[in-house]
Amino acid sequence: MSYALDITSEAAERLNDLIESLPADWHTDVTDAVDAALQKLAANPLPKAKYYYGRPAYEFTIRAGRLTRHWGVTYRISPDETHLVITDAYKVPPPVPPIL
Amino acid sequence: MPGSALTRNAQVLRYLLEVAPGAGHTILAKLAYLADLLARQHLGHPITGLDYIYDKHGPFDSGRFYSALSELERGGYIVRERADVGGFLGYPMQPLQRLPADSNLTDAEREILSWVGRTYGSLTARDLCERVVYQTTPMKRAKPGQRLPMEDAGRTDPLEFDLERVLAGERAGEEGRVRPLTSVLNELRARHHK
Repeated sequence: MSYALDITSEAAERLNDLIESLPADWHTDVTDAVDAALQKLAANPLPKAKYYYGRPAYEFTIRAGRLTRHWGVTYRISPDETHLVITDAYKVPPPVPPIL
Repeated sequence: MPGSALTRNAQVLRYLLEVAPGAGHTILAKLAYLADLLARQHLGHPITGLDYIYDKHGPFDSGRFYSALSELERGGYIVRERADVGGFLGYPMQPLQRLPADSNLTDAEREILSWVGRTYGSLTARDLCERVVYQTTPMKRAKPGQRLPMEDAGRTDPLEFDLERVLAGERAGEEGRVRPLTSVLNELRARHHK
């Protein structure tokens, strides 16, 4: 069973900024690609989780035409385990420092 | 940012000792370095005012580091002990009095300091240096005696991961400022079709 996907107002702004950082011709395709990636997350959130300061994050590759971007979202799962709330959306940063 | 009775460097070292009590000089200095490195990447600015050089045991700003420790000792915030550490004289430090209420460390800075202390504070000084600190970009780019190019490791794009934004998103969630993702994506699609 998939989690219902919610997004905070702050994360929605960031997601919009990410999409609008790309050429306008690609906005619709990229929005669809984000939707598909996040539906995968909702279906199975934990196995692919990366963690930032103890917070789970899901990082994915967006492909639209010749565009390739690595983006991610941080999220929380509701206490009743029915909703997955996206708390931020971001470009994947380079890894620092080594995590043991 | 309002001032505090303690300098920012002293606040950072005291905070790290709360999470990693018993750390000696080498470990504490490396924890501060790692926190600054992460903060540059994930906040866009360092937490301390330390200016690191590639010293004998790795990144260090001896003047500011010892000045901050003296400040903490004088104020009764830490006690510095003497101990035999594997045949060498070491100075494990223990936290005493808590940070003053006027500490100006932000929530995001505290998150980074806590994470660094928990993740790396239990390593030996040698493991911390060899397995972590010496593998970081500024240490790889500098030569012994040189200033570390910390700014090279900083965030270059405001759309990259930003811990302040994550915390803001979490607060929004707690305050109920949340919508179904589908409706947000549909709005974006409608906007982009115009």
